[in-house]
Amino acid sequence: MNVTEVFDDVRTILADVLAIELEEVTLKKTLIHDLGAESIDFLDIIFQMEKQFKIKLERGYIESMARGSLTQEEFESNGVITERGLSGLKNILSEVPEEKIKPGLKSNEIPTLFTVETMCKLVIKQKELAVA
Amino acid sequence: MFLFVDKILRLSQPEAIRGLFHIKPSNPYLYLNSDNQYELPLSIVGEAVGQLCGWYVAKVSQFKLMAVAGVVRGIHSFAAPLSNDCLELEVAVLNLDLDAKRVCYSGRAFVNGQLILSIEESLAPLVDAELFKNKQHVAALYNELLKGESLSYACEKVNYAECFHYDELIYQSDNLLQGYKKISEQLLCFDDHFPCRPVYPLSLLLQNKLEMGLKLIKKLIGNNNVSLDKIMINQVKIGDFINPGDVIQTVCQLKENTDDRYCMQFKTSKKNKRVSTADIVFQCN
Repeated sequence: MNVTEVFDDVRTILADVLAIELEEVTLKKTLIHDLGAESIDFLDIIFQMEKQFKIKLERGYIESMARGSLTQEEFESNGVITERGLSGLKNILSEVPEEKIKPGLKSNEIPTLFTVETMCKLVIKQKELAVA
Repeated sequence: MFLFVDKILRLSQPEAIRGLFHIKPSNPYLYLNSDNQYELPLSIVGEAVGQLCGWYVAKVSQFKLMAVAGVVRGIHSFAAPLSNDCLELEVAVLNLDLDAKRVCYSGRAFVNGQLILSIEESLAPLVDAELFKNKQHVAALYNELLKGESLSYACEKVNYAECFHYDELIYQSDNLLQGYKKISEQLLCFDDHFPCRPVYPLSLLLQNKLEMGLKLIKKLIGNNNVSLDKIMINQVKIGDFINPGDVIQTVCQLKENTDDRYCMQFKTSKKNKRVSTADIVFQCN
């Protein structure tokens, strides 16, 4: 399964939830800054994706993937992502321009990095886990 | 006072959850309509359906979690209930995930078997109940509702204008209306919604929007006698709490007007931050 295969459905969900035109939703757009998503929208987006793709998306999934074997303290310090944490985020969010994952990034700012492609990759990852 | 379920009939799944609400003449939210009859605002009917779902969440989570308003795909209103009517409430829980802290439900309200309001896919976040309510008090109230002892009201009727109208309306153009409202700390709803941390109910905010939309229609047609056949509220979203003392600003824009149908978009903000949106279609007679 690849991004192209899930993109149309993800795009439809995002356009529907965010009340925007389909054409506005492209892979590189960020959900918050480019498409105007708010925190309540994430609840809806995740719910609609779970329904559409018959998957379960755990809360904080991306953060826990980025953290990998790091402890919470190793991943962040006083709410700011550590150097090792940033490295993990760059690996897991490879679609996000590296310059956006920079020192000083706070853990509560992680959702601002999410792009449409991030959501597609999330679906693919969960589908693969479900099969495994 | 802001409780609109007074008897829980069934609270187990997979069948629909059922409850009743008797609209007593002493109900403080009744108001005199243009036919000189005491009517319950439709937003309160929606609130009653939501509260029935709320009781289900409370019970399943052992009163640890409670549902708050989030996203509603659609609300259709067909008729208004009157004083002495009994609302028959029905909720189908489509998804309840205590870990993800969310509930999704659809619901309907009937009077004498006639459908008066339906809610399509309401997705509500769940929050820690103890931040907002006293757990023991809620559990005790739940047990009373199982017994079905009708609620009594030791309060005066709400001032409809104070509760549901904007303090100030500014007509920006023929299709754009702006409203300001300070949420009074004295509103009756704050006794129950929620005692430990009062929050302005989405249902009241929707009624504010309905009143605002009606004002715009009246202005457009130049007639104060507007008879509504049906109201459809779509894509409702509330992303932040509105608290007593907050000043809210709502912009109402007429997006489409064909024959007797008015489609409007509402955006509400506080301190310049958007908190709620809704699209409302008014179908006039």
